[in-house]
Amino acid sequence: MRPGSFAMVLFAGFATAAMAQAPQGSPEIIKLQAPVTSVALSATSNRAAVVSRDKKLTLWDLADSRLLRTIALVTADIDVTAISDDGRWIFTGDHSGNGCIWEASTGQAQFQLRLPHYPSAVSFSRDSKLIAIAPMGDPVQVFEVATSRMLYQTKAVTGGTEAIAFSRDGTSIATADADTTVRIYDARTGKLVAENRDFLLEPLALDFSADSRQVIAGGGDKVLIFISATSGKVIRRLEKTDEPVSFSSLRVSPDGSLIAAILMKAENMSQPAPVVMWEVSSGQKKSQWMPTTLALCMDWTRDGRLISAGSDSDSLHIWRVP
Amino acid sequence: MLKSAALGSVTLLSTLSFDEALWGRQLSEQKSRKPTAWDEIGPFYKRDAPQSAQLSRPGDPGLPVRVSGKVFDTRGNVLSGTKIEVWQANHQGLYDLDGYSYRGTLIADGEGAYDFRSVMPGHYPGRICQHIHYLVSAPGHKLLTTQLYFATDPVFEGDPEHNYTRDPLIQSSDLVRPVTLAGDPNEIHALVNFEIVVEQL
Repeated sequence: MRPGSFAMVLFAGFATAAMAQAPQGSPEIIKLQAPVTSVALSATSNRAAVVSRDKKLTLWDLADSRLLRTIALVTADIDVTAISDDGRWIFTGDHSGNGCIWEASTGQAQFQLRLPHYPSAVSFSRDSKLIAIAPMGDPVQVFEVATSRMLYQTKAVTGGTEAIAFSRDGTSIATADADTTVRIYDARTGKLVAENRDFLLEPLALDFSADSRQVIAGGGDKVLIFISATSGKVIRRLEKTDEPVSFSSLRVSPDGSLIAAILMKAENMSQPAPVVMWEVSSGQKKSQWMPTTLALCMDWTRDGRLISAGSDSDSLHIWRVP
Repeated sequence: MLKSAALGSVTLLSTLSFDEALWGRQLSEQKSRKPTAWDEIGPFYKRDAPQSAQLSRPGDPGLPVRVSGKVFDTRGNVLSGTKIEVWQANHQGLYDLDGYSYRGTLIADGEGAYDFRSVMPGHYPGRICQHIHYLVSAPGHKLLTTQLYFATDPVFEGDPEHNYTRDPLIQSSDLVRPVTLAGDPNEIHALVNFEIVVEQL
């Protein structure tokens, strides 16, 4: 179970602003009619896809907090929601293993699929043409969104996949796998290119560097590792944190200079944990703040601002980092 | 002959040697078994856990528990040498990420049996039920990730058959096992039996 699957969260502020660049003031509030169960952000298209307890998928324009569309769902028990960078496609996957890709502009289902288990991780490619879906404990399935054709599925790995990322250039997919391995595949064929087994605990979050040549991954080992996307070898490690946290989500900024991470408290993954930003060149923390409750997701805008989302019982909270 | 014996053919037994008849009887006693239900691996698996049947340390707080069972294939054959990795939270519901407390690797013996000693896991705050994680690897068989739950967990209110779905991660009530209390009043410990059945590749 990942923190994103928790139903009720509150992201009403931050207790400490230890360094520069932490969000200031209050979050933008989008009022909802029911508690949020799942959220996805596309900072590029300035969209938020929100699933709420009243079995509604709503699409919001973050520029003016405007409701763009409401889609009726058959269940509110959605484990994973994802939205493509261009804002055109939205994925919802429920706990019974039913997945659906929605076309945002029409609210129609582009295609539906039956997964062997509920989804644990989903990612669209950067050009929004492909989607990679990891059912819990099972191989990753990659589809062409426009045709709904499954291109391939990766080989089975013990325990399945916890996180997926496409490279910026579209050539590679990286998976953070439960058998403590980071794997890099050819995005067109699904052929395994490289793997890294430096983690003892499961890696839970990863992203590619801006030049697509490295994978940055983190998890319960409490350290960020830079891995060659071609050899799988460790290129660099950032300083290990002593805090009892794990990495829950990672996003590299568009210019590659910053890494943002949502952390997860090991003793209680539903409690708020710090959101941290590192400078890639120095490996130093650039900012860290502690939301009063859990951050659910985040994304970078094209001009390098971080947007993070959380919610309380009746509203979506959007934080913007300058 | 094997097939006939396995089916319990009485007429064939008179033509068999004693050893063959015994073998046939053993086979006829074997039952086909339902594979153990899958459950997710969870976010705190750590590889290379030490080979040890003692997950807790002497004096650790919590109710001592001994978990035992056998590993079978779906035809009822015991699977000796099966590798079983187990990990759990301590009695307060906390996982050890820095070391290997409450983590161990077990090897099923010649009878397919395994057992380990620990304490009853506490309720991890991110989950509803007390549980112990299993990763079972038997050569020639599908890897199994699953979790063991306890019928005494207050969440089930004494009726796990009906209430197991209160934890959405529990795929089958078969994973919720009875708990027997044993020992004298000053040293009570819990006994739990959890048989594992894995599918052939």
